[in-house]
Amino acid sequence: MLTFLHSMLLDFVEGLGKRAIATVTKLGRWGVFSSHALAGAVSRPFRRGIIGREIIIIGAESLSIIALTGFFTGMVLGLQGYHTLTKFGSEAVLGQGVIITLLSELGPVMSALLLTGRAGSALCAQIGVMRNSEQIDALECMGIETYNYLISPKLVAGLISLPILSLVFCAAGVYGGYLAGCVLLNANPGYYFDGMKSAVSGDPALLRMCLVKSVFFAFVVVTVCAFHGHEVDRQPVKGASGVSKATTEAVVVSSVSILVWDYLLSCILI
Amino acid sequence: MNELNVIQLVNIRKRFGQQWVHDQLNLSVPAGKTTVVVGPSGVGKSVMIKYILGMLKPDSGQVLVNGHDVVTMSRTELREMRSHLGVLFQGVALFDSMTVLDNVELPLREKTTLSDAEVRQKSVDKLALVGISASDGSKFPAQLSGGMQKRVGLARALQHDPSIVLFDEPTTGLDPRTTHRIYDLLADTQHRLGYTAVIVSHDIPNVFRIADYVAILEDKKIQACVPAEEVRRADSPWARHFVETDDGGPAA
Repeated sequence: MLTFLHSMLLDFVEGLGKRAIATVTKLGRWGVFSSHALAGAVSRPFRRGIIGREIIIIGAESLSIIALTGFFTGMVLGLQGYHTLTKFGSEAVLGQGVIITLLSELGPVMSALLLTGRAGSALCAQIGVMRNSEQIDALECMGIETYNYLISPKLVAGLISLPILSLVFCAAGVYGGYLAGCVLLNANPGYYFDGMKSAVSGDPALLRMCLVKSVFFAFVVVTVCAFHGHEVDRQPVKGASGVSKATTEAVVVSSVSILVWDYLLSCILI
Repeated sequence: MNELNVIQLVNIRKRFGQQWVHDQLNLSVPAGKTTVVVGPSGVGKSVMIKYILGMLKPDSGQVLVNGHDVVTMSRTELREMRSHLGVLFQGVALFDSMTVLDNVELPLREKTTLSDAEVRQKSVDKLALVGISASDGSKFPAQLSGGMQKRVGLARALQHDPSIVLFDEPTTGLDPRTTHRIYDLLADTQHRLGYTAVIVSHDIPNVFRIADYVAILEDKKIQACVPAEEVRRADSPWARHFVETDDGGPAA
């Protein structure tokens, strides 16, 4: 019995060790992949046309879903905030509460999570299919720098798009909060907008936090999703199942990374 | 290096996991000729193509292309070397988000400073060379038949006038009639442009008719590389070797 337990424990530790090594190795490969993607973004040729198309796919086509989600998130903030603040007789600071929450947390985090689901998964699947059908090999065989041509434009587009999307999310949230707090619940609109103005002008770090987080999250979303697509041939299953598994992994890893890095960045930027 | 051999694989060893794929594999490819590498499925024919392209490194041995060892090349050197090579992939690997014309124009747009009009003209000419009309240039690859996709893939591979063209199972998935047409096309373009062709295939004996040399890859190494006439001659031992086999393996 004791030998059996001992053997089980050894197997468990061995499995844990193997998993840890695999994770660290994968993290290292992601680091190399990301550095190539960054290097590709600053090296010639600078692909304005492709970046423009990617901004439309990643950014412009995400606008409506971001605005809609931001609006309803703002409504929830207005509703919850109003009822909570009324208990303390502080409904006058509703506007400040809404804008601080939106700019510092919900704007960048929710936008990044939505971007992962909408554009990140598509990006991963696209690169995965290109890898499986030898299209990436074909690029390399033509002497074309794959990162510069394929990955870096998506990264640049993400870095440009997500901060704008986060601001759109916040703006929509402001009007959602206004509708729920002021129109539906009779909070004072003057206090609501004045409070917002004073919060933003009085603390420039608030806007900075939103933009810095957005840029960082964009880097995480694009590199993690593109990396998983690029490594689709390492999946234990091949073909469509491999792409499906890689896409699922990309969305999970990207989403969890956003939340982990959100905490770490908040600690640094607050 | 022998000046006539533009590609040389020297004492290549490679294993995936515990399984040896190649062990002491040697092959010399003469310039301006068509060398066909045949062997059973799964023997590592496509892996050989990947060595030559520098997309996969052998565990040991040399891969010499025009006298330069691909194994030790930097990323920049590899890009430069690959720009002199053309490749027709097994699955053609046309970019499905681009039109036929965009696919064929891509190598020139990326690697030359030609004007838009020159790129367009050269691309239309290359498509004409492989029997694709300009009116098909606006179609997407998914709108073409398998044989037409192969033709477009060949046009793209030949776009920058490479001195070496690699073909990975060029007739896989095609019906016999289209297969013959593709072989005719390969022979015709090779004759006209004079490139060195390396074709890996298990389409035996059809592929022999366009070969100058036939290399037999079996049991982890090249067993022989013989002039194609020898495998085409009915009374030769190599012809008997392939008689009635359709997977490239030895006759039972």
